[in-house]
Amino acid sequence: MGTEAVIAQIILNGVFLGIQYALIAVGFTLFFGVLNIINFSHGDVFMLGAFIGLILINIFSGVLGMTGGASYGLILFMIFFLCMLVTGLIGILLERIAVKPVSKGPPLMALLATLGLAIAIRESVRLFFPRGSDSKRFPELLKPLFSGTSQAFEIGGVLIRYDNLVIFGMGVAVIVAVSLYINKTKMGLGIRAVAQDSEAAMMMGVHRDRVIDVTFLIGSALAGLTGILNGLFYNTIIFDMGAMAAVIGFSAAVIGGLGNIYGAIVGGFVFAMTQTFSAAFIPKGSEYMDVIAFGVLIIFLVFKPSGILGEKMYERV
Amino acid sequence: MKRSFNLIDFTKVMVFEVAVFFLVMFFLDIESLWILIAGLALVVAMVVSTKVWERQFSSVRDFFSANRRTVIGILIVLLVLYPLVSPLVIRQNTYWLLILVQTGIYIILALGLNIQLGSTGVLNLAVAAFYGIGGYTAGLLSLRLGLPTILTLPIGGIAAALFGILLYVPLYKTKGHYMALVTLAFGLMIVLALDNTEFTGGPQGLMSIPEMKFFGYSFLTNPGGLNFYTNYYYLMLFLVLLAVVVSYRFYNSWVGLTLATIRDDEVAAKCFGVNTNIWKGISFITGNFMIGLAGAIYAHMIGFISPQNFSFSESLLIVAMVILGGMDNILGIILGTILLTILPEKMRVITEYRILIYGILLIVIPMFRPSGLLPFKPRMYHFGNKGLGKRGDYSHAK
Repeated sequence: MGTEAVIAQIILNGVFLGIQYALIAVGFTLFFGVLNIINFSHGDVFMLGAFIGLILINIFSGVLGMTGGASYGLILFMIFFLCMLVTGLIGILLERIAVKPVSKGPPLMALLATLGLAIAIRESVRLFFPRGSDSKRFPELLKPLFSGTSQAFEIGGVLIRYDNLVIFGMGVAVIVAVSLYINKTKMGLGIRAVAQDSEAAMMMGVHRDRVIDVTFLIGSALAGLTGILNGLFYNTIIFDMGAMAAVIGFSAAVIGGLGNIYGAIVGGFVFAMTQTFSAAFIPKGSEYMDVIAFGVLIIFLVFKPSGILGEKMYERV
Repeated sequence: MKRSFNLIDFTKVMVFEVAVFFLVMFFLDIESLWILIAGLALVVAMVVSTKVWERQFSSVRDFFSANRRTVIGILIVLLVLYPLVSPLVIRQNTYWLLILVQTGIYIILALGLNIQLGSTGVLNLAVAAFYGIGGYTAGLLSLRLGLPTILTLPIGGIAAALFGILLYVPLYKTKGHYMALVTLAFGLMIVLALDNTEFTGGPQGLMSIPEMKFFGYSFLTNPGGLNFYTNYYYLMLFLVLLAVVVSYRFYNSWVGLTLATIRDDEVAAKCFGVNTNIWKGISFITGNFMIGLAGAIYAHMIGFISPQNFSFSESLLIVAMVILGGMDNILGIILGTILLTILPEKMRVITEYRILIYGILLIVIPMFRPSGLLPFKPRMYHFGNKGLGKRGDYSHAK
């Protein structure tokens, strides 16, 4: 393989990983916009999405086994949709119980409460899911879609797996849909208004509580979808996968600039690229991959203290 | 207002404290879940009743704050006596001694973090990393070079402070959530690096770190037939008292006031000529020294450390102690620390659900006490006849 092909392969891996980070980061940035809170439980909502996906797959596995072709894809689509719906509703529930009540208090206290919520979700899955502390195998649902042909194709020495392409396509489709929703609909306008100035928005007749509910529905549904996609990508899920996801999602959102959706997407890809490139090019890179990624993050913040697309903070004395 | 010695007051305070002392020991000894729950319910009821009968409660509080010195003196005497009395009362004495020593370590950690987070408003999510740097430095120095404990302890603290200087370079450029992310990333970096480096033992960590030894006295000897943890207990008691005194002096000095101005309004502080970057750095590094020192003690006491001991969740635990106890309120932080270390141990009866309950507590407490168990009080500077008034004497303010 030529050098170009190697680099192309690394970039491709970064892209497949980056779309997942971006989906989680969008949630972080949305919640920060409407509630001014870093919701650390978001990573565990993502984990919850993966487990709900697993449950749904088990429920539908009988139906899935019998059908093939187009109806198989339809049922798969239904599983994705149901998982997003359930996770989104859970997101609203958690927001009403735990996140919104504490978001009025001091920001650090709110941060702590969401961390407590994250612990509570994680432990509930560990305790109440059957054999919850073991890692679970996630079925390779996308493979049968391409059972007729080979599982991958090659362009110029770069190997591309069809199932990864599907994961990427779904991620992009959802992000485009969300960005259209936020930019083109009335509720989207409400979300942007609350993010900019919630009091002024309320005076203009925006129903703030409803906006927050919708935001959590969207954000948590995205996390739920990412959970399934992550399961399909790695073929294994575990109850504590949310902790790292939260850290990476938060990092991606901050790199891009908190409060900016496009920033979160860019940040997700930047973080993933840093990881894959350092894994490939630095000796013992796969072990030090995350060390380097976080190191780059720190150095990056020195030069760009409010992210790539974040608002500049002016404060001079 | 100088108070002369009052025997009746002294007796009252002593009876009260001895009673509480024994109650606490019985509480530690109890293994039955229902008695435990009943006890906790009683404590909650007492806390609620202080709200209901606020007038009566405030007169009790005034009595104790007037006899402040007596209260503290008797408390210290009781704490010194604890290892001698406890074998008679507590069945699992060794276990509780260990837990108490660990509580001491956490108090030092929380007080160190408080200088950064509570006094200055610098959120440090890498506490556990600095704790680990102290521990690993002390462990490696005594394992590989055979340095004596009297050197490894301070060097552990200094190493953490040096890493603090290193991190402070990117830290002072950022603000708010971005600042939190820098420390978070640093904490994760350190743990991942420790996990993957062979020199530090990789994921297995350092094993059989030598015990503490001061002037030939090994801390593994049993003093007078008592358990060897008694040695660590007294060392911890001394260091915790030292940390508390240092924290109070820090808080009451002009340095503490300077830091508070930075926390409350950085722009205003700059306007008044405070060099915020330097002062934030000083508070960050001072806090890290205390945190590193605690790590060094931990490494020597347990004799085994691995990257898992210093993970992000450990940082969270320490941050939770400071925030739940009440930022910049030293008494509150000590209470918060004791609550968060002793309570999970008591809940071992329900081992499985321990962390779940802990998580739920972290959600519920902020809802009811949004500024911590003992919220921070504004400093009372009032100028009477002799300049600054004494603490506990608010007659000028009224």
